[in-house]
Amino acid sequence: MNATLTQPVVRTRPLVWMREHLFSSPLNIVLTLLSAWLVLMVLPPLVQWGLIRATFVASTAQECREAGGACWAFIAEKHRLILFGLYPYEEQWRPLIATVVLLATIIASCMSRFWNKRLFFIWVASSAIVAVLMWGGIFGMTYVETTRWGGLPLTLILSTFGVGFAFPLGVLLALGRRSRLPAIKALCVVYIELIRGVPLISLLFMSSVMLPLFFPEGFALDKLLRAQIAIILFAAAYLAELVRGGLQAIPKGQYEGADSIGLTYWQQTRLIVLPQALKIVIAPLVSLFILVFKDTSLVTIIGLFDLTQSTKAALTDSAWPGFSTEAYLFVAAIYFVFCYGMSKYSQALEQRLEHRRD
Amino acid sequence: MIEPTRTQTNSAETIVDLQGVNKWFGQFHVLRDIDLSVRRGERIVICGPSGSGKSTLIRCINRLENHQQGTIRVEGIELTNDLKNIDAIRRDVGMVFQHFNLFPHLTVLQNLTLGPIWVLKQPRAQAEATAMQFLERVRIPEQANKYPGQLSGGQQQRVAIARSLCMAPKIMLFDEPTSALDPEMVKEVLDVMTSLAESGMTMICVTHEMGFARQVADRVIFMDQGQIIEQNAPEEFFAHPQHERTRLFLSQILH
Repeated sequence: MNATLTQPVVRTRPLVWMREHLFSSPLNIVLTLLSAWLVLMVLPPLVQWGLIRATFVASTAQECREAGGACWAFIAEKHRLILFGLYPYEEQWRPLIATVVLLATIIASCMSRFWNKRLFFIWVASSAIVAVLMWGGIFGMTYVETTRWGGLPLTLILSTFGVGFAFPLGVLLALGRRSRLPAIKALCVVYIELIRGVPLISLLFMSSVMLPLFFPEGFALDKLLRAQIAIILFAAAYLAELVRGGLQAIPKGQYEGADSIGLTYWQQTRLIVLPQALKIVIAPLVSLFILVFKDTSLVTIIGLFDLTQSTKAALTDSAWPGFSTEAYLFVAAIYFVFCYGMSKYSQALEQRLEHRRD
Repeated sequence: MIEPTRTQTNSAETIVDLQGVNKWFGQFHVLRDIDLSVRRGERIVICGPSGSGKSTLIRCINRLENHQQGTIRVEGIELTNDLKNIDAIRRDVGMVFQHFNLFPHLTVLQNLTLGPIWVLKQPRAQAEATAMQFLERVRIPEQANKYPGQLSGGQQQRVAIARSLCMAPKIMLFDEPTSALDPEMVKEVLDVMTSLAESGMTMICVTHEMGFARQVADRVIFMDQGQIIEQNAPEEFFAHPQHERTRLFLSQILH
């Protein structure tokens, strides 16, 4: 860009900048002072607690107490319990690799150069790797049943596959709700309204307590799998309504254009309608994904050890009592990294797709 | 795939044949007893006041609208609810819309190759070669890799015409193709339509461009209140309109 042709760059001095941005009106002055006061009140004690007086290495809780600040040594001591739950201690390299594989696959899926048919096979392969690592029982790895899975890998598995399967199901429900066939339409409406009318907690309870009653004798479905299904069914109903919003925004002319060149319903849907409809709802979709990611913590109520539950378990150690602030900050930071990552990615994706129409 | 049954029409040269077609939108009788047959290679301009049913009429020909009474045959295939017949007819009939209806998320080239690849099952390379030929013909080959939103209205409409032509249609329907354009862009679209007419394409155009009708049409049809009021060769139609309503209409649009 040539600076001489565009508006000249005005270098504002700090004082001018402050006057324009911080003290431009009486209200602004009050707000600036208020914010400054808040920062001054909160920040120094926080730094004092979290950094200056904090203990990073300690072999007993007593050392932490004497320092008086945050006890990050507690996290160092308990991080494996928090991250992997009750998974057998000496086998925890397996969920670690499984987590890395899953994250790598998710990150790859976010990159446009992987957006082709191969991606599907990549997902099949990495799901298989995750399953083998987590369950074991072959290649000389001991078998670990799902009741011992926990922590971050469990949270990631539940939310990834929750979203992954809810997505196609939700899209189909959204299309079905707009169908001209009354039976299909009614079915989709009933499904969506029923599931949306019930909190996730009660769906999880139903999946763990009620559902087995309906199974034939001798047929048992793994508790984790039942929770996973509940999450999928729950997310799909919400996703369907979001996608329907996107579908309604597609002008009639797009359907007529597609009709006029003879595309079939499914070709139209796949090539013309969904790409445009989904683009419109990227932001709310990612919001939903973030919600699902956090809502997986509700599986604690049916006794699964997700990240929050394993943190609780870490807090029960009588040798290290009373460090819940540190523990929950640690877990909150993990959740934040993931959620913020998703949010940033959705913004980048929207911009990327919007760029085409300049 | 089973070929749809093609019944022989009275003349082998008749490509579109409407008989006693009636259509209602709820209580509103939008098409009344329409009889119309179009010969192969014939160029027809349909005009009439808004709400006269002219757009609805041509939209019935590729079944974007369905009619309730009468028969419509295209290339001898009768339009019924049979999806196979509808698909067959839509392959033969191209349509250009007032608002272009291009696909905004696809490039110009992708807009053009979508039908040939998915409906006609052409290999991509062949579809792209054909598409480039038609872009040359509508004189915008340099826009192939842009998105529709980056083009002017006139350019978009020319892309839309090229998109239809890529399907190698036997008939082209134009539904007010220049009504949504800025005045300075009308000519470039009409030029493309004129050259298309000169190549022998069967065309049915709903338009108020009377200059185009005079120059290109074999027959001009005037519609009002869902009926065909009169039809004639353009010289006769403009010089000696038979009906009072036609005269009134012409006096309103020809200043």
